[in-house]
Amino acid sequence: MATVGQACLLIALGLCGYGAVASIYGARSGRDAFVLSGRRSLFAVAGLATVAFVILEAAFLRSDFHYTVVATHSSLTTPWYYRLAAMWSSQEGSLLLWLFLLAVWSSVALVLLRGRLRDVAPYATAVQLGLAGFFSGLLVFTAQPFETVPVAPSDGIGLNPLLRHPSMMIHPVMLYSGYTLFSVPFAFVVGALVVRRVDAEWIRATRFFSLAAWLCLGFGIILGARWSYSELGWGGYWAWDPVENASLLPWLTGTAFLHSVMIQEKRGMLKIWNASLVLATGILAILGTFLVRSGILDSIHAFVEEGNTIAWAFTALISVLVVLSVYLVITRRNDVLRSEARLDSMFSREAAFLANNLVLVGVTFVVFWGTFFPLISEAVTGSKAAVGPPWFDRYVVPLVLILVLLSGIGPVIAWRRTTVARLWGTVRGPVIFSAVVAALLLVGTNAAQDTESLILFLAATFAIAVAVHELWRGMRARQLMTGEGPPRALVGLVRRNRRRYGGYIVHIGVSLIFIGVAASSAFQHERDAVLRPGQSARVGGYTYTYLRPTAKIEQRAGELERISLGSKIRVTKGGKQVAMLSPTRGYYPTNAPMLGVLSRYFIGDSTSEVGLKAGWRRDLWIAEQPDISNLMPIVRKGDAVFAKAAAGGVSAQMRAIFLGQALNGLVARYRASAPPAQFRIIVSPLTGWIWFGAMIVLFGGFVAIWPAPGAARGLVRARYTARVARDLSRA
Amino acid sequence: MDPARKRLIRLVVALTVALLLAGALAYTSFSASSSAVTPSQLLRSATPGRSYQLTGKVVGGSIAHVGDGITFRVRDRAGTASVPVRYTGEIPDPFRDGREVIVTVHKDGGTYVGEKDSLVTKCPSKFADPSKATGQPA
Amino acid sequence: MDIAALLIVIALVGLAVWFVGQPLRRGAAARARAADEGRIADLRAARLAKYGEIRDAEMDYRTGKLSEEDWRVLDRQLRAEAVDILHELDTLAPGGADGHGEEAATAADVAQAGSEPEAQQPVGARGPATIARP
Repeated sequence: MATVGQACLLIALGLCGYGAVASIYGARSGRDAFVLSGRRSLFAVAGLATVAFVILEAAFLRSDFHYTVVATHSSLTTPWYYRLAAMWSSQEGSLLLWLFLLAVWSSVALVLLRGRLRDVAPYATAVQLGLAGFFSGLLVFTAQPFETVPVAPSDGIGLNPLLRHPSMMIHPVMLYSGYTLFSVPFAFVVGALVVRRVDAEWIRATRFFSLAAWLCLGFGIILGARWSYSELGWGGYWAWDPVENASLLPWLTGTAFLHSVMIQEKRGMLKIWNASLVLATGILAILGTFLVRSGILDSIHAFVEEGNTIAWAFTALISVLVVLSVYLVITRRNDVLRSEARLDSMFSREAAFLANNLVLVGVTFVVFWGTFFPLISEAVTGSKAAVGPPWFDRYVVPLVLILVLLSGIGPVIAWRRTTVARLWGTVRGPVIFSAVVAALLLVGTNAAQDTESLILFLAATFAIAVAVHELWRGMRARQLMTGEGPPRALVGLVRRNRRRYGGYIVHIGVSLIFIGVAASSAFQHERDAVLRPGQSARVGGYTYTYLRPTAKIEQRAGELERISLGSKIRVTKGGKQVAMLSPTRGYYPTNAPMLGVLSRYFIGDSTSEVGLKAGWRRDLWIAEQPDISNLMPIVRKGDAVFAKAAAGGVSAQMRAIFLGQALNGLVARYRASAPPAQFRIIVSPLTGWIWFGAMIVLFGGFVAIWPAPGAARGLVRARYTARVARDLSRA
Repeated sequence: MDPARKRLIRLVVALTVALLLAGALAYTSFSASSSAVTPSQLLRSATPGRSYQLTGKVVGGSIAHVGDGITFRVRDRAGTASVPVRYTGEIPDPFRDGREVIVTVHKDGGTYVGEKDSLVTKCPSKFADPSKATGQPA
Repeated sequence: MDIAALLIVIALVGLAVWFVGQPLRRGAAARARAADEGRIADLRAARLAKYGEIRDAEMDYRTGKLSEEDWRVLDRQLRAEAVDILHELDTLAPGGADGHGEEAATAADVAQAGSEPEAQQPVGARGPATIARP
C-alpha cells in the first residue's frame, strides 16, 4: 500500500501540471472543454490526496512500523487518537496534510462558486493547482511519507509527549485549514487581476472562504496559546516566538482585509489596497508554513540546518508569489484598480475602517520586523541579533489599544460623513458607562498600578458597551418597525444582518480577550519556591501547601507509558480551602539502546502536568520539578544489577518481573520520602476571560458566516425587491 | 483648499508618520537586541556585561543542580568548544543532555549567567532529518 | 512492488485520466458567452450592495447615527446611484423574452448570494413622492 500512496502523490503531481496548463489554455483560447478538464484535475488531485492521506493514517492506526514516519513518530503505547495526530507531527505527514486540505478546500470552493466568475475561475484553478503541485513535488522528491524499511522495528520511538494533548491534535489542522482556505481568495484575486475584473463580485464570491479561513486560523492560534498555558511548565500563553508570530501574521492581514473589503463593497474604494492585502495574506500563509520547518530562524521549533532543500524550495515559491503579486498590482493599478469614490470626510466609517487597517498593518509590520530581525541584522551588521518579548510588547500594546478603541468607534459612526454632535449623541451612553467602570476600577481594585492596562480596560469596556448598545438599539428599531417582542426582534435583527452583528459579537469577544491578557500579564503574581512536604508558600494572597508527594506508574496497552511523580497541593485563602491541585511530572521511557534498563525510565522525555484551577476571577496555577537526584544512585546500581543478570543468563521473564518490582519500589520510595521539589506558582487574574472571549469570537464568526435564511424566502423577497427596483427606475 | 490637494496632504502626512514610526522601530530593535552567538563565538569575543543569545547543544552529563538553579555546559552544534552557564528560572520540559537550547546570557568572570526564564529548548526532532538521529529519543 | 499494488496504481491512473479527459472527449461546446457577462455579474453584485447601503442608511437613521436631514440627502443620493446601476443593467441584460428574465435572474442571484441583508420593509413603500428627485 505504501507504493500506492506514493503513486497517488506522483499522479497528483502530474495532474497539477496538466490541470494548470489546461485551465490557462482553455481560458485564453475560449475552449471551455479545457477549462472543465482543469477543474476536474483539481477534483482528481483532491481525491488522490485523500487516498494517500487515508493510507498513511491507516498505517499509523495499525502501528505499521515498516513506515519510517510511523516508527519515528508513534509507538505501541500511543493512544489511537494521538496516533492519528502523530502523522502530522512529522515533516512528511504535515506536508501531506497541507496538500490534502488545500486540494479539498479548493475543490469545495470550485463547486460552491460554479457558474460565477467564469472568466476568473480558470486562472484561480491554475493558481490552486500550482500550489498543490509545489507541495506534491516536495512530497514526491524530498519528504517522502511512504518510505518503508524491509524489517520493521518492534516498537516506534513514540510521539513527543509534549504533543499528547487534545489541543495539539487539532491545532495543526486548524492552522493549515486557515492557511489553505486563505488560498481561495488569494487564487481568485490573482485571477481577477489577470482578467482585469476586480470589482464587487470576486469579493462577494470568496467572502465565505475569507471568513472561514480567518476563523480556523484564529482558533488554531488560540489552541496553541491554550496548550502553551496548560501543558508547558512556564505558565504563559504567548512568547512572541517566531513560530507563533508566523501564524499571527496572515491572521492580522486577514483581519484587516475583512474590514476593508466592506469599504470596497460600499464605495468602490481601496481596490488596490484590498487586492494587496489578500495577496499579502496568501503569501504570509505560505511564509508561516515555511518558517516552522525551514530552520532559518532560531526558535523553539526551527532548526538552523544548512542547505535544507525544503527551505530553498519554499524561498523560491515565496519569491515567485511576491514577484507575481507585485507585477499584477502595478500593471493593473491605473485601470481596474482605480477608486470609484474618494474619502469624503475623516469623520466617517470609511475613515475608521481605514484607521483600523493602518493599525493592523502596523502591528503586522512590527511583528514581521521583530520575527525576522535576526536575518535583518545579519544583513545589515553581519551578526545575528534577536529581540525579545519586551520589545514586541512595547510596540504592539499601544497599537492594540488604538485598535480596541476603534472597534468601539467604527460601529457608531455613519458612512460617508458625520458630525461631532451626532457622534457624541450615539456614543454618550457607552462613554458614561466606561467612565463609571473606570471609577469602580480605580476605587475597588489596584488597576491603577499599571496605566497601560487601565487604559486598555477602559477601551475594551467602551468597545463592549458600544457593541451591546448597537444590538440593543437595532432591536428597538426593529421592534418599532415590526412590532415584534424583544427576543424575536433581536433574533430577527441578527438574522437579517449577520455580518454586521456577527462582527459586533466578535468585537465583544476580542475585547474580553484583551481584558484577560492585560489583567493576567500586568497583575500576575508569580513565585518560584522550593518546598518540602508540609511547607507552604504565599502567592498573591493565596497559600499553597505541599501536602504530600505522589507517585504512580501509568500503563497503557499492557506497556508502561510513564512514571508520574508529583504532589498534592492544597490552596487556601483566608484559611478556607479554595482548591486541591495535583501537579506532576511524567517521565516517559526511552528506547535508546545505550541506556541502562532502569535508567531509561527516568532519563527520557519528561513533561509537566500542570495543576490548574481556573476561575472567572483568577487562575491558580502550579508546576513542579521533582528532585529525583536521590533516586538516581539506586537506579544506576539497578542498571548494573540488571546488566549482570542479563549476561548471567537470567531469563527475560524473570528479569521483567524483577524490573516491575524495582520500579514499584522506586516509586514507593519517592512517595515515602521525596526530597524538596521546585515549584513555580502563579496566581493570574482574569486569565479565563481569554478563553471565554475566544469562544465568543468563534460564536460571532459563526453568526457572520452562516448563510441567510432559506433560499425560498430569498426568492420571494428577491422578486419583491426586483419589482420595487423597477418602480424606482420608472419614477 | 480643493479636495485633491487635501488628499495629497493627507497622504504625505500619513507617509511621514509611517516612516518616522518605522524608523523608531528599526532603531530601537537594533539597540534592544542581543546578538545570537555560538559557544565558540562567545569564547572568542564576549564582552562582560553585554547580553548574548547563546545557541548550542547541552553537553552530556554537564547538568547539575546548584542551589535554586542549575549549571550546565553548552557546546557548538558541530564541534567541541563549550562554555559553562549558570541559570536560575524555569526549565523547559524537553531540557536534557544533548538537546539544542537557546539561552540569553552575559559574561560574569569565568562563567556565563543566564537571564531568568530565558532558557528555551528546541522541540527535538520535530522536523529533523531522521537519518541524523543518533538513537536519541524523539 | 506487489501485484495488487501495481494493479491498484494502474486503475488509479486510468480512472484519473478518464475523469480528467471526459470534457475533452465530450467536446463541451463553448457557451455563447456574452462579452458583457462579467460586467453584468459585477453590476448585479453592485446592485445588491447598493440596496444594502440604502437599508443600512435607514438603519443608521433609525438608530440615531444620522439626523433626518442627513438621511434624506443620503437616501436620495444612494437611490440615484441605484438607478444608474439598474439602468446600465437593463441595457446590458434587457429582461429576456418573457419580460421576467431580470426578475428571475435577480431572484437567482439573491438566493445564490445567500448572506445578503434583506429588507425590513419595502424600500419604496413610502410612495413615489419621496423618490422624486430634485
